[in-house]
Amino acid sequence: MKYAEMTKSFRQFFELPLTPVAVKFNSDETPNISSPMRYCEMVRKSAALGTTFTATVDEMSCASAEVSLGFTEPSYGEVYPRVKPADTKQITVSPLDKTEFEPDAVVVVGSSAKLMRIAATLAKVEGGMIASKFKGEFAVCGECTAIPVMENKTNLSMLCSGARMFSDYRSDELAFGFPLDSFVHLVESLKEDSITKALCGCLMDDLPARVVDSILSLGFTKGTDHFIGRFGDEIIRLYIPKDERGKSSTVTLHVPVKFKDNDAAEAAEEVASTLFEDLMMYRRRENWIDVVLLVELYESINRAAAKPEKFTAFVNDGIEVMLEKISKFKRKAIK
Amino acid sequence: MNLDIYNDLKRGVESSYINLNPIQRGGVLTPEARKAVLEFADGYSVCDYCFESRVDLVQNPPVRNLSSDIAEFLNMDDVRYTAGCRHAKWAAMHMVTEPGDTLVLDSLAHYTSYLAAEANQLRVVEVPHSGYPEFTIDPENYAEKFEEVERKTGSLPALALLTHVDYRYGNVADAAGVGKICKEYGVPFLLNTAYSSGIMPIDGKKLGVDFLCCSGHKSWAASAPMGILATTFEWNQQVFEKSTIRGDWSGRGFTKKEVALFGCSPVFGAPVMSLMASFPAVVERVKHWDEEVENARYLATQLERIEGFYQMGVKPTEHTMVAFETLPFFEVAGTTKKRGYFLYHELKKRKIIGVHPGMSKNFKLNTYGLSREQVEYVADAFLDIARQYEIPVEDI
Repeated sequence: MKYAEMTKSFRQFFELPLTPVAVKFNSDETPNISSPMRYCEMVRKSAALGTTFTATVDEMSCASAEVSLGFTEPSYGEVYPRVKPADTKQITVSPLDKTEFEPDAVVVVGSSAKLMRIAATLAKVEGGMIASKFKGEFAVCGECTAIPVMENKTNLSMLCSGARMFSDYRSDELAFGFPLDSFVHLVESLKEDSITKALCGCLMDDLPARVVDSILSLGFTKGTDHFIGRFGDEIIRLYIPKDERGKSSTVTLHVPVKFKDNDAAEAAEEVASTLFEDLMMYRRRENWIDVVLLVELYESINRAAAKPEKFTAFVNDGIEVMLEKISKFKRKAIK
Repeated sequence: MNLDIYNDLKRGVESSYINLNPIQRGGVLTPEARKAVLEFADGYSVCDYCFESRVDLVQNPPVRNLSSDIAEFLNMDDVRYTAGCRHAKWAAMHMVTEPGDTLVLDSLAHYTSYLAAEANQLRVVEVPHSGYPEFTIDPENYAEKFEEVERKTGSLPALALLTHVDYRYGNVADAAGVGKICKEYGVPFLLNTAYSSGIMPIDGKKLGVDFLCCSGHKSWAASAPMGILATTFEWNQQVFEKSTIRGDWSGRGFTKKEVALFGCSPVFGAPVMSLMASFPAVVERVKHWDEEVENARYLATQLERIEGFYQMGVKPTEHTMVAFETLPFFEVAGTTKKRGYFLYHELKKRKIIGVHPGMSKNFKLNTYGLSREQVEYVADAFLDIARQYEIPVEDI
């Protein structure tokens, strides 16, 4: 029952009503079908009812599946997709959680919304786009079984009219075929934070990844609600303020300068008032003076970060100005 | 199923350790509550002499008295128990708003405020905060948002919510300021006091609050899940509305049961009895809030002696939960085998827990209820760790 745990976490994660189905060619199981069935019907029944089917060519009621699953060679011309050479003697379809054998493929049936989530997660796990070769024929047998087995690739299928008309597939359902290794890799990845990370209520939740990446590339690290990094002799904080509509087109750089006590900080405010002007501001907080530089991006931060060179130049200039001004401020204010 | 894992359950936290966990300090049970929990640990243990079919009306043990005493303590008119502060917020929203209404809330609100709104199908409009480094909420912005909502929807928001003390920076918001604005506009005011009532003095009437939501397990030295919903005579009938449902075949009715509280709040055991047992201590401890804040300020001052340590939020802090940014610890984390967990382990070695494992860039801690000696010990521990990893520490 080594696949039981895997099935449980997969179904839980993707909230799937149907069980993934394991497919095995030429298994050692005993055929158990009393009257001929379609392969796609076996798959859906297995997914929905947890039934295990083992069929030889005599129990197959669909000629297309006979060819695509490699029971028989095509009579004329080539057929794609299909299992070749055609040396399939029997095929076993079983709910993955009850599977004892090592499957050749795993077929997942679900609504388009559920399979979209699987696709999105798979894309993160494997990188790149999700392959989807389909033509509305030979769907569960060819597109979801033969392709994973012959090409060792996942494939998303729109199903075919046979499956929808005769085998009880719902109108909003699709099917996804996996080679075993891809399926196992996907399930194991569901434990990775990077894949499963959810929004936590941090104030930077809505920052696009490219904005974060651009800021990190400058040498900052991401705190909970702002960025922070060491530049020269100073620790500089970068915050992304929002206007009243929730839009961001500026970043602010902060360096809090510490003084011996409140009186010293109060005295330093006089120096600050002559030194910091235009886009620079300061604010006393107890015995600290928080020096702030506003970096105007002249466009939304999302668009600005899409031009990394310009964006990093803006912020780097800000950092340089900040370092110079802070150094001058400290010289003048901290006796 | 391996049922062995449920045997001999232990928390793994020694009682001799100093716990700085921001959400746990105010919920540490008093000795009296610990005793009461043992006595009333069974499921429905409060219900031996229940004649009124509601936990808040039970007279033995004196839950009914407790209800009126808590109302007096908070200077509100009527009180019910809830399964946590989140349930209190949900209940108030559920009974005074309609799906599609607008809730105006502060942008530092706890996620449960958002989810309570979502569960009640409310639209949320946020009052912005001031941003780094203070993250404060200006009460005047509530007025702006009320008007904005009225312009856009044709009516004022159905409810305003303020987080009295936000969970990120421990800022104490100007509740009286918001209460005043709410009264001017006629918008009902819900105050989330999860981090304030039970540890600092709260006067609901003075703050102009219509619905005061409290967390027993966060701030009243009670076992979870324990919350309190306090309101005024203006609202109590609506919020604590009785059931009117009838079985269509049986004709059954439940007219003493209050709808938003699931008829009888599920706190009938350890939660309400630990709240009750701790209550005298809670009444006393809020009188010493200033001393508590002094301790937190002392710790902030000491920690800021470490190069690169900076207290975020309002300075000097007005609460015992304080947030720090600590880049030098993060830099150390990059050089140690334990990575970000080094701080957790260093503190644990010194019998200090509660700083989130893995956090080193910034963290929050809460000094509530610690003695001055303990706070000094904590400060020394941080300074000691900094020196150990060659981070400069200012001399006094």
